[in-house]
Amino acid sequence: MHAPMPRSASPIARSSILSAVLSAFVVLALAAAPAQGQATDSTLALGSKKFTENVILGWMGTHLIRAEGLAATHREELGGSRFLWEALRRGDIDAYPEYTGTLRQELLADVDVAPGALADTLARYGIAMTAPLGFNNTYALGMRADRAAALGIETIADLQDHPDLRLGFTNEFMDRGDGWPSLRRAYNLPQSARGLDHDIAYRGLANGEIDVIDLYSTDAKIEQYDLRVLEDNKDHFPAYEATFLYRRDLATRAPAAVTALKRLAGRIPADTMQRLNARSNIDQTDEATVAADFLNQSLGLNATADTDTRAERLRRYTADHLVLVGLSLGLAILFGVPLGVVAAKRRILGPGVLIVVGVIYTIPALALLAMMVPPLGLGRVPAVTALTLYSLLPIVWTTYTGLKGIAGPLRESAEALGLSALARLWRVELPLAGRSILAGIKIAVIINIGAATLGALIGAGGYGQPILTGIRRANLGLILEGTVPAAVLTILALALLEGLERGLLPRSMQS
Amino acid sequence: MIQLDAVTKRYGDAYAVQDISLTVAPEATTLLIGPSGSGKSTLLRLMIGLTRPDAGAVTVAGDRLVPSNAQALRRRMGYVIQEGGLFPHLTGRANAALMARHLGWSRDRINARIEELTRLVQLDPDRLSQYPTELSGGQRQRVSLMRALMLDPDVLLLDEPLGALDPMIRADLQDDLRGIFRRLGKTVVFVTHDIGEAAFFGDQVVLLRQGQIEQRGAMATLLDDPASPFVTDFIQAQRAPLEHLRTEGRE
Repeated sequence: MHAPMPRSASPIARSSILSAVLSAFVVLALAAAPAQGQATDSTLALGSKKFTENVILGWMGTHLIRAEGLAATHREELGGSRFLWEALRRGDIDAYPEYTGTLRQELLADVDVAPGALADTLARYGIAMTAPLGFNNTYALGMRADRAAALGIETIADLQDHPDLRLGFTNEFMDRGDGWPSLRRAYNLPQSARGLDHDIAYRGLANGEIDVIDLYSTDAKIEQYDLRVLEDNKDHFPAYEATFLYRRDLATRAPAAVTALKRLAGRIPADTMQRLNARSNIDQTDEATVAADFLNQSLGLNATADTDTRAERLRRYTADHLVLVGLSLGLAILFGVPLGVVAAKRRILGPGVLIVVGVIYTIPALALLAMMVPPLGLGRVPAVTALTLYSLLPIVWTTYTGLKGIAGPLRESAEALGLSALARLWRVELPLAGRSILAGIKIAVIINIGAATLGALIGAGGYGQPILTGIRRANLGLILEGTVPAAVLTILALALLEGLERGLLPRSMQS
Repeated sequence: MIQLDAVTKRYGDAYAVQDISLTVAPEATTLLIGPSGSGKSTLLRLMIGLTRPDAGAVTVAGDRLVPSNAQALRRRMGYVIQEGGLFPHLTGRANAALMARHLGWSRDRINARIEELTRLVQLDPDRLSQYPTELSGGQRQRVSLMRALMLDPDVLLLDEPLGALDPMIRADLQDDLRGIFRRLGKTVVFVTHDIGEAAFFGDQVVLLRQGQIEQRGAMATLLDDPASPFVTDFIQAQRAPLEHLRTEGRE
């Protein structure tokens, strides 16, 4: 009878341990947050899209600016043109490589840009562009060089004389406004074409089943398969000339950086870009190295790419991933449990809460991330916000079901004791719902660790980074560099939560 | 101590309690009996404010029971239900001490009170460190009674507290409970459908039928001077089997 309480386990002690652990979690994560990836004020930031050519160009810009003695970071392989455009306008990045066609067709699609007035239009957005870098990465038609030579085909118009040629195009090209239907009309071509997967088209071309395919004019495979790019002599395809976009204020903040970017103007012809793409995509050379080697050779720079060892990379990705997951999970618990309580207790507001978190969850993680970029920019803040919203569903719903599942007599016993509503919640109902809530937190951890890999698309780093690079270069090793640690992290996190459950829940509440 | 004035409670179209006026005698045990659905549990829940009347008033210790004072009045009443209603995440001791701890009692005061109550309800003190699922039904009801008595309330409300126990344990606990009631001199309201239990405990018996009081008074009055055939039927129904058996055997 005078024996001490078994386990340290008064509900108050347990609750304060839980809240202490949680707040420590959040504070730690917040403290760690600015450590990685976030540029400090004087450091310039460049961005690039998630395909090889753009990453190489991004590194070229970074190396050139660093060669001027300026500090510069490169946020590589971000999710899409729109992300970079928004980030540039917000000032999250100072420059990135873009294509004139993308500007006209996508980013400024709603704006009437007169021919030759692109720079003026951009100026209205506070953005400037360098002169074209020298190549035009647009749609093109390609044939095996030997076959083209045998038939004497050099231009798209030459196809008219060979109605027996077999054409295989990607489905996207079959559908696009400037794709096959309009190309056929423009050149009055006699052939019909069939839609194919891109990789199958290349294979078909190699073994002679197909004669003509669509490709990008700087495609790395042009060199690999020894293809001839047919000249678009009627200028049917819109120009996608590569340039650097940069913020206009860069000219006053760091004029040397603008000068550095302009050095690339006209220096990269299409065959050079094909070669560089192939070095990265086919030879698996790191983009930073490809860019440095090119600059050292053609502009006499002395740039070096400091490539991390696998261990260093892993440490960086792990740190980034832990911050994303820890912070968003902590916030999701902080908001999710009270929301679950509201859902269970408020007759009118409650169903609304359940529906809203449910609807948020139906937004694909990628779309949710995309929605965060315009208001919140790039990096951790939008990624953590999106992940937090995404993790709410399991926590809110399990809190709700946990509370709703408490037997009526128990709820009434607490009421009959004369406990206030808040005290009932804290001393009886939440502990009784504890197992259910912990189950929700475990589900949230699993969802969160997986979804956080998408954070790399908006520059938040983490295990998504090697996965993106791996997908881009079709490199399974790199993909595993992201997926294996993510799986290990999931297992460790679940083990930790299991231990926490054993420590926090009294033995009568354990399974 | 507890007074009900023309209290009515409806669930949909059905009356659970219909226009009942009743004064519970202080420092005595009042038994609410009646068949299932006669409104006896509802009457008890009205007394502690777990159910609000559609019409009429409940007065506890001179104060009309309303939502704003329900919390304070409940702390002057102890409430025990059939399965005890003990919280599964707390040990027996923590269950009993929950309210005292919430009110900020000192550890010494809580320990002293628990010790006192453990003796009163005749519970093995070692059982207190166990969780409700680890206790027997009888032990659970003893802990439940400790929890109800922790703040030394004036009133004890018991809703079929022995209903789920087997007959031997039930008889034991009946003896102990009656002893406790007599010793403490509390106002006790006890709900049961068992006529024998009612006779055993009751200073005053209130027989309910379809939400109304059929007859009230001492058990002897109900036996000797039934207000209606229903009273006789209700009493007979529970006595009949054994007596029937006996008469059959003789013939």
